[in-house]
Amino acid sequence: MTRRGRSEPAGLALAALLTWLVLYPIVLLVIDGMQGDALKSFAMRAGEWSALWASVWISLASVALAALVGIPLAFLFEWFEFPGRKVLGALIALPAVLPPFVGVIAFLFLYGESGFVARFLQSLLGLSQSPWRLQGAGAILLVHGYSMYVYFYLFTRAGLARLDAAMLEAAEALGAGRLRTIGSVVLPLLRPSLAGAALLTFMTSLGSFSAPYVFGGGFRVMTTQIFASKQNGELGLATVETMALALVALAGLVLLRRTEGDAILVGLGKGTAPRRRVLRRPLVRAAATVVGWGLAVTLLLPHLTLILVSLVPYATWTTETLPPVLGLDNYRRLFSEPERLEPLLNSFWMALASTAGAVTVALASGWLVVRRRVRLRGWIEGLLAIPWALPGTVFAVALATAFSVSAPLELRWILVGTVLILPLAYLVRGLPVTGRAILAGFRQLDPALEEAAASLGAGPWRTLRRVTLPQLRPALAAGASLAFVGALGDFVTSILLYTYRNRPISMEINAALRVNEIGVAAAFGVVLMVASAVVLGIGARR
Amino acid sequence: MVAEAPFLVLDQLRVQFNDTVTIGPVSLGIQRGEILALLGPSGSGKTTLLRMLAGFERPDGGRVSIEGEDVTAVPPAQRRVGMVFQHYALFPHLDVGENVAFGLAGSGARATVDGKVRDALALVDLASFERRKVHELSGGQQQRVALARALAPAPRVLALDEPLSNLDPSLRERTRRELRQLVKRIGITAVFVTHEQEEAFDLGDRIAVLQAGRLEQVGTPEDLYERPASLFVGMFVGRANVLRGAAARALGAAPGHLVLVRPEQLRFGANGLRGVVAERRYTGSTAFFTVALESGERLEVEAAPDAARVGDQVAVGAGGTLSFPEPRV
Repeated sequence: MTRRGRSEPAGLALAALLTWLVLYPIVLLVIDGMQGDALKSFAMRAGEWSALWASVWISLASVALAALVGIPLAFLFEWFEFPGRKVLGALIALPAVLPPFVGVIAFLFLYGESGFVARFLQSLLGLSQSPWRLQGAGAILLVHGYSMYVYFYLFTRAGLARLDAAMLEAAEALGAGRLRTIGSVVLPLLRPSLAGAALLTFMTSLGSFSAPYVFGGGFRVMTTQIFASKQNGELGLATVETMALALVALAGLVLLRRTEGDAILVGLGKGTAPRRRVLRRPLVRAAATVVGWGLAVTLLLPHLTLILVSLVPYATWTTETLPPVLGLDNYRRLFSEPERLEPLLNSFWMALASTAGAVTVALASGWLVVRRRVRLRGWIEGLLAIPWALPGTVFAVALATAFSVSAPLELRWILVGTVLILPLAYLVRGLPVTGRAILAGFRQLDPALEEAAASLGAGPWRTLRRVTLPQLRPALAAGASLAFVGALGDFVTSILLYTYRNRPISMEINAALRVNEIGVAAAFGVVLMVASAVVLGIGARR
Repeated sequence: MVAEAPFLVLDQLRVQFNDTVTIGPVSLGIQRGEILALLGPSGSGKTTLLRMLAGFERPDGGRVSIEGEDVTAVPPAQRRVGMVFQHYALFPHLDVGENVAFGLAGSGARATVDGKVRDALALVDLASFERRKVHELSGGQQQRVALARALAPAPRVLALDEPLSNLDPSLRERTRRELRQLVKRIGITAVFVTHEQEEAFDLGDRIAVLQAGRLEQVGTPEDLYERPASLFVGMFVGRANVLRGAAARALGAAPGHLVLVRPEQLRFGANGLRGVVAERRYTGSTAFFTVALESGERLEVEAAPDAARVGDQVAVGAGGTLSFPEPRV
C-alpha cells in the first residue's frame, strides 16, 4: 500500500509530462486553427479539398498496390523452397527498415528521368530526350507500392508461419482444391494479419512526405500542401490543413481497426506451420526460382543503384548510359569536409539523445503502468500511442505552433529556431515504438523475479539494474533501435523544424540534390542505409 | 472359406526421411467395416503410415489401394478418406455447420447440403449446434464436430490421428466406447493411431504394432497379449516380467532364451523362484506384489490381496510363460 502511495505521484508526474509533450501541442494547434479566417479560406479553396482527397485515394491505392505485390511474395517465400530463398526472403524485407527518403532518392536515380532505366531506353531507342518524366500521382503510387509492399509481405509471412498445417490438410481431405483452400481457409485465417498490414500501409501512406515532395510536381497531397503553406508564410492555413490531415488519419485508424476482427482466429491453432513445399518438378522449380530472384532483384534494385551512384565522382557523368568513372571520392568528401561531416554528426547526436529520452520515458511508463498499475495507466498508454496515429507532419506543425511563443505560465517556451526542437520532435515520434516494445517487455516479465530479488535483499536499484533491465534487454534493444533509425533518417519532421546549425543528413541530401551533386547525395543515402541496417541488426539480436 | 480381398491394402509402403530414419516397408490388409489400430511408441511411424493412407505423405515405394483401386498417386482431395486430426483442425472462422458443410461443396443443392449437415451432426449427438462457434465448444464437442465433418462427405475410409489424446482422462473412456459404437453403426472402415494400448484394445478390431518404422505384429488383442510375435510386442502390450539367465532357465527357457511372463500368470506356492515381498500395491479385486528374487531380479506378481505381506519369504511359480531368443546387444 505504501509503495503504491509513492507510485501515484510519479504516475501523475509522468502523465503530466506526456500530456504536455504529446497532447498539449495538438490542443494548441486546434485552438490556433479555430482562430481567424483560416478555417474559412481552407473550406473555400478547391485546391485544399483536392489535396485532401488526393491523400485519401493515394493511400487507398497504395494499400491495394502494396497488397498486390506483398501477399503473393509472402506466399512464394513462405510456402516454397527454392535456391536462395532464405537470403532473398530476408533481403526483400529490408526496405521496411530503411529511411523512406533514402528509398525515394534511390528510386529517383533508377527510374527518374535521368536515371539508369531512362538513360538505357534513351540510348537503346535513339531518343533525343528522356522517354518519361517521373512525376505526379502515378510516380507517387509507384514509389509507395515499391516500398510499402514490405508491410504486407512481413505481416502475411508471419501469419502464414502461424498457420496450423492441419487446417490446410483438413481442407484438402474434405476435397478442397488448392484455390478453394487458399480462398476459404487461408485468407480468412490471415485476416487479422492482412488488416494490420492494410492499416500500417494506409497510415504510412497518408503521412508520406518524401515521395510526394520529390515526385509530386504540381500534384499535391495534404503533407506537401502543409509544407507549401508553411513556406508561403500562411501559418493559419497550414494549421487548419494539419487538423484536416489528423482527422483523416484518426478516421482511417478507427475504420481499419474495426475490420481487424477478433483474435480468436489465431487462438485455436495448436499445430505446426505447414512444411515448405520442395518443388520437385524441374520446370516449376526453375520458374519459382526465376520469379523469386526476379522479384527480389527488382525490389532491391533502387538500393543497389544508390550504392552505384554514390561511387560516381562529381561532374564525371553526363550523357553516358553508365557512369564512366567510379571511386570513393564522395565518401572522402563526406568525412573530410567539415561542411559535410557536420550533418552526419548532427543526425547521430540528435538520434542518440532523442532515443535515450524516449527510452527513459518508456521505461518509466512500463514500470508505472505494468508494475505499479497506477491509476492513470490508461491515459499514459494512450498518450504514448498517439504519435503513431498521426502523420509526422501533424506533429511537426503542432510542436512548431506550441513552442514558437514565450509564455512560461502556459508552459510554452520559444524552441523553434533552436537546436532543441528537432530532437524533441524525434523523441515524441519515437515514443510509440519504444513504448510499445518496452510495455510488452514488462508484461512478459515474471513479477516473481523481482520479488525473488527483493526477498534476497536487493534494493530497488539493484533489482532494476541486475534483474529487470537485463530481462528487458531484447525489448529495450528492439524499441531503441527502431526509434534511433527513425530519427536518423527522418525527413518529414526535419524539413519543417530544422535550423542550419543542426541540419540533419536528410536535409543535406536534399540540398545536394538541388545543386545536382547526386554522388554526394547518394553517399549520404548509403551511409544512412548502412547505419540503419547495422543498428537494427544489433537491435534484433537476442 | 475363401478369403475376400481386403478393402484397404497397404502394400510394401515405405518412406525414407533421411539416412537414419526409414518407415516401412509395411504391408497391411484391412477388411471392409473393420477398425484397425496403429499402435506404437512415439517415433514408430504410425502417424506417417496414416498420413500416407490419407495422401498427405508421399511414399517412396509401395502402393495404397482402396476397393481394388490404386490411390497411391491420388491427391488427398480426391481420395475420399475422411480424416480426424489430432487437434481437430476445425476452421475457427467458420461455425459448426459451416465446418461440417465444408466437404460437401458441389454435392448438390443447398437444401441437400443442409440436410447432410444436420444428419452428420445428429449422428454425433450435436443436433442443435449448427450455428455455434467452434471456440465455444468443449474439447469433447470439438472432437465430435471434427468427426461429423470427416463423415459428412461419406468417405470410403475414416482415418483418425490420436482422436482421444486431446480429451480429459475422465472423458476418454466413455468417448472411446461411443466412438466405436458410432463407427460400427455406420459400418465404415476405420484406421486410427494411438500410443495407448488400452485405447487400441478398446477401439480396434485388430491392432498393428509398430516399432522404429517396422510392423511387428498384426492381430486381435488376444493374439497380441497371449501370442506376441516378438519380445517388443510382449513388453509393449500389457504388463510383463522379463527374466534372463538362471531365473529364465528355472522357468523352463532354453539356453540363450529369455522368458516373458505376465503378472497374473505368476502365483505364490511351495516351489519356484525364491524371494522376499518388497512392496504391495492394492487395486481392489487384486494386488500387485513386487518380489525381490534371490538372484537380484524383481518380479511383479498379481494375486489375491491377502496372498502375502511385505517382508514375507515366498516362492513364485509360473502358470504360463513365453520364451524369446535373447536379443543380441
